[in-house]
Amino acid sequence: MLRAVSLVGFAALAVAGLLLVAAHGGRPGPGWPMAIWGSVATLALWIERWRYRRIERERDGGHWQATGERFEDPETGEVVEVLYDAHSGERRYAPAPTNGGSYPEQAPR
Amino acid sequence: MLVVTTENVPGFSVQEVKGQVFGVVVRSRGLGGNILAGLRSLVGGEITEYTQLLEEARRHAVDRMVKNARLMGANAIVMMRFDSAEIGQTMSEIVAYGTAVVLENDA
Repeated sequence: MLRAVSLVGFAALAVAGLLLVAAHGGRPGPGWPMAIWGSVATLALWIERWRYRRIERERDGGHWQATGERFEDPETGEVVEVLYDAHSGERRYAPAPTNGGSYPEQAPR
Repeated sequence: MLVVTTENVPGFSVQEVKGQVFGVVVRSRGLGGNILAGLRSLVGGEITEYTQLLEEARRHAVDRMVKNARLMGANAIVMMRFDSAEIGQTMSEIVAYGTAVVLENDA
């Protein structure tokens, strides 16, 4: 909710700045900083790309094995399981099954 | 790959020590996240933007460490630890390090 309110607020600031710039005929004034910083903040909030790895929605059976690691995603609150591919060394994150099932556990050989 | 913070793993014995392994990452929330975090800090409570940033950074570091350990031929990492530092005012450095080993089941 804070994100939505901030987006609207900064967008409104940018629009107000542009209106001020238009009202002053493009001459230097308070409109320019408002328009520029409002636009920058709006853009920054809108295209924020900070997530490392999305939780994979497709649980393809493939070569993934469960590591036994589980955690609760702080953003969505869902329980996430960590899977491991022994061939590539990749790890991925997928929603933990709700029916009690899981991928086969991988134990050290 | 088993990743543990202990030296020994019950039921398994270390057959070979491959050496130290680590994964490091530097992450930032960017301008948008820092603006939100600054606004949230005005009222107090959990700053979820930074909580999520640090969670993601730790997972990224562990993933890198695991990949490096696999490249070394290990099947487990023992004595795993985290270390963190700040770079600038908005960036967080996380390093996950441990000892890459080859474990064998005692059974």
